[in-house]
Amino acid sequence: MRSLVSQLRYTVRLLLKSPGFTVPAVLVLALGIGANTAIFSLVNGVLLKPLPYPKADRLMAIRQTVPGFDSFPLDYPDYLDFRRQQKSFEDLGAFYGDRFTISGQGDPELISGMYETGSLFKVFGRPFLLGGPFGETEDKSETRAVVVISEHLWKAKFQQDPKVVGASLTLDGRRYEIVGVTPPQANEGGGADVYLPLTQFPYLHDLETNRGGHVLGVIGRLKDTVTLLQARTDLEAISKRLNADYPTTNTKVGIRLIPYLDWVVGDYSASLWLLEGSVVCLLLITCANVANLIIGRALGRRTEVMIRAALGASRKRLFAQLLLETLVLVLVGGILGLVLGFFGMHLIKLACPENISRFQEVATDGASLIFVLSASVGTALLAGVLPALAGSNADLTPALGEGGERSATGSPLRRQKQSFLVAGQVALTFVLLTAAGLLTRSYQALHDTPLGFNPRHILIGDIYLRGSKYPDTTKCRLAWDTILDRLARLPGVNGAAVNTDLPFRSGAAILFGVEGQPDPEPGKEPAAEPQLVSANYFSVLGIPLLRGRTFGNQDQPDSERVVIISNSIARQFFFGQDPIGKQLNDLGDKVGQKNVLYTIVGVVPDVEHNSPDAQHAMFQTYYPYWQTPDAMDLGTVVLSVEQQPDSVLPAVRKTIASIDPDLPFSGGARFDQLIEKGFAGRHLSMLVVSLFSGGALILATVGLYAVLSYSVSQRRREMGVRIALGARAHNILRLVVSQGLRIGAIGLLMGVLAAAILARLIEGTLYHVPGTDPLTFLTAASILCLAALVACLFPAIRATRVDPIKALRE
Amino acid sequence: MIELKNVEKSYKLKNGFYYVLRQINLTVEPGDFVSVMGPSGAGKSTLLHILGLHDAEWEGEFYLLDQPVHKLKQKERVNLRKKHTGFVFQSYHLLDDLTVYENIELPLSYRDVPHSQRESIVCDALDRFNIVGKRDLFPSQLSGGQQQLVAIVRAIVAKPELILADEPTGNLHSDQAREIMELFKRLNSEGTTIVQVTHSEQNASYGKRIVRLKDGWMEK
Repeated sequence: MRSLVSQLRYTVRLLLKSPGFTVPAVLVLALGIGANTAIFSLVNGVLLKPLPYPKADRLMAIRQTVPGFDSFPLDYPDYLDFRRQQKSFEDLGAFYGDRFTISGQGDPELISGMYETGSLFKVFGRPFLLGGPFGETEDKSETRAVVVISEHLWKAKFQQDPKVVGASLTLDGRRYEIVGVTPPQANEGGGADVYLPLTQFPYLHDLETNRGGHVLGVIGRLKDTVTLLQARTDLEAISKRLNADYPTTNTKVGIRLIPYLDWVVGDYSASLWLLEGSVVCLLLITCANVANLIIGRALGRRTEVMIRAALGASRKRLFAQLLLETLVLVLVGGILGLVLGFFGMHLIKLACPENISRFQEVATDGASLIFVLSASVGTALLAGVLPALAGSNADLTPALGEGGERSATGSPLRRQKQSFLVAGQVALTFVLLTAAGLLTRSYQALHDTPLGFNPRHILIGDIYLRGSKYPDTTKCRLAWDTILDRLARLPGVNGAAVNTDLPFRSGAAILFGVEGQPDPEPGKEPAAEPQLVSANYFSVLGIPLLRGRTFGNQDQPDSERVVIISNSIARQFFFGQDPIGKQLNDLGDKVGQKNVLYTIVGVVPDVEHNSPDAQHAMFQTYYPYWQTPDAMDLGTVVLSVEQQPDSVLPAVRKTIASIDPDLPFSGGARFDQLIEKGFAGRHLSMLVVSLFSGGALILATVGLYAVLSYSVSQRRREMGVRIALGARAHNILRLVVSQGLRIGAIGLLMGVLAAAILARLIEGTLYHVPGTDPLTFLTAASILCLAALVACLFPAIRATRVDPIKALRE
Repeated sequence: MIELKNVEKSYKLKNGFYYVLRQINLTVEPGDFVSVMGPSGAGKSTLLHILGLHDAEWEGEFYLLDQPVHKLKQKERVNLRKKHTGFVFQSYHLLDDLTVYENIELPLSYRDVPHSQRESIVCDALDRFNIVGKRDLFPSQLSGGQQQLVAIVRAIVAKPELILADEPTGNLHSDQAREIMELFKRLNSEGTTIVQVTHSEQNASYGKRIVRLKDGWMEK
């Protein structure tokens, strides 16, 4: 032990005496380990750490599949059938995400919440700070209006009142009794603040009777003895029975079982794994770089190692001594890296949109510390073993003889090892550069996809009319008329419109049929994104009318129902015809009701309803909000403004408050910023991988430079002789540069092969860019060649300046 | 103690072999003090490194303390060297980053001598050679003579039966050289076998006999 302490003391002393080596090595290690810590914390916090529920791995999301969509919510009757017939789950629970206006607790505010079955609490095993869940009885009875609130709401609205259970909370103008307070969970429900019994859902009757109305999320807890495969088989059998029993609604509807964690984080798991892969590449490059530094330094310590060997040090002891130095370096780099990783992770969290599940809960925890420790030890071994092995292999006679340094026999071998490490760095750097290039091209392609509307100078915000003041369709319609009219007259506002399903906000889909055309086969019905809009919606968002007209005064609530269709519907169903005057229907006859017909009055271009890389319906249909038979209570107001959208926000809030002081205007935000947030995940991946590849490029360039510098210093006498024999500057230049480029070329070749293999893995995350995109590969290769040339040039120039007389005297 | 039979050392060149040592037959008895002399390139240092078990690339038979070195594996040679030999270099080869104390302690630590024993052995050695005051100094803070003194203390601290010295006074002025040679004489009189390489007839006179080399051959 004392021996180890004295070894450590000596090692630290030695490292402190060589700041020119120690500082860069520690910094490189800190960056490598820090980047790995940050990204691992994210991967661990989001993808690996179990959700905060008991036996969270037994939780499954149950989804239905319909042609064109591989993950669809369930309808209520199907849910009940699955719940009754299944044998694989302890229980199932269902929920419907909604928004609520909270009043009586300061300014009215729109908050997120869920209607859910009482069984869902049990399924999740959700803990409670106060009170408890509502039970099944509340599902069956409408007599008690109860609510479970989140810890966040308890703190924000009730100042952590310990007697909050039993108090009342007004949501959408209705009073609910608080029965429990639940701590924050994994943000998987979009940060729900209130949980209400499904029986309180205003349209429960529609839910109960509408088989085919896919709106419910369903979660089940697998029995301990049942495997995922068995559960899948069980549910598939039920699904097939439902297909047979309800052919009009359930034909070609399948069932899918997804581990709940995968469902929560599925959208960005590929991106996170890509980041993890990139950062591991960076760590490997870091290791190679540090190993190179150590090998380079070993030259100056050759005699010391020989003396130690001559004094009796075994190879094992020498190896341990040299490895200990790397361990100390890595330990310091690791501590610094932990600090850097901590800040890096927070920077990434800041750059992430808040609505990405689990990102905001990510923290540097025990797992991160264990990772840092493992990464550090791994780094020390990777970076230290090769140099320690090489350094401890002491051939005593040449170095101990006087003038032994001049007859260094280990140099070519050492150069070879260093060259091998640099070629590896070049290969990994090429992989990272390619990944960054592909992500950039993919992001660019996504970003450059025409949206079909102009989101600039647009302010959007949600208004929710639910409550006793808006009991029916007429009241709601009048309220929307008033709101839009008053907002449109505000100074600086060019136009005010409304949409229930604004692009980039949600992605509901309905099936439709075309009158006069054969009924589509069950399961092959076309789906559209339905949007209830005001007449001027298209002009406010700059969507041109291609044919026909927009909605007008002739389209009264009781007159013929009308629809404006997207151009893709016109192309697919009315090719070569004028669609104006033709009719769509809602396939009501499929569920035993009368078809509702909608006459086409206009055609507009298709717009990107969601992020272009998201799965969504092919078609879009627009209906005037005043013709809907159900009250349109929730809508997004779209304001076209002259100046900065934010500048009119106070006036907008004031105007809405003057119409109804209990009406919240929620989430007033710039539309273009909201759309940018939709790309944020990809943007972040691109940015981080680009940063990593930039770092890798610098490290690889420095590595190549170091090897060539070492080589030139070793070959000074050779250069001197060559110059003395008449070699000219360009001969020497070519000699050194070709040596460097040879290493670069070998690395590049290995990199191209590795990148081509890895491209297959990330192809799924790319948008409109092939994994082996030639432009990206060529650009990455050019950048590397340029960097290699720069790295070669300086040592080469130094080689041309060797004074032959001095060199030969050395 | 040492017996060499037809030991040869050569390097392979394009056109054949270049011999550094030819047919060396040498016996060194315990308590002997041998000086190896000869012009530059005669093979003196090569011979010393073979005797010191630093060099394993040679042919012939070599017995050290009755152990057939030519048959031993690398690890066994290292152990033999560690146990029985001490080496003194012309340019001292002290480790610059270790103090005098630590330099002297090093061979003991490599022989796995327990820490408490090491401390007393090193302190005794410092005392015996009157360098207690220098124990915490670094080599760069010592004169050449002092450095060589420390190097000799380091070579003998583990009490080897054989000391091999390669031009031990080559970098010292005459007064310092004399002191070092006196020290060798004293160690030899205490029973330590010494083989030194030297150019100096005066230094060689401190030994009991001289072996002369020329072009790799041992002069009869």
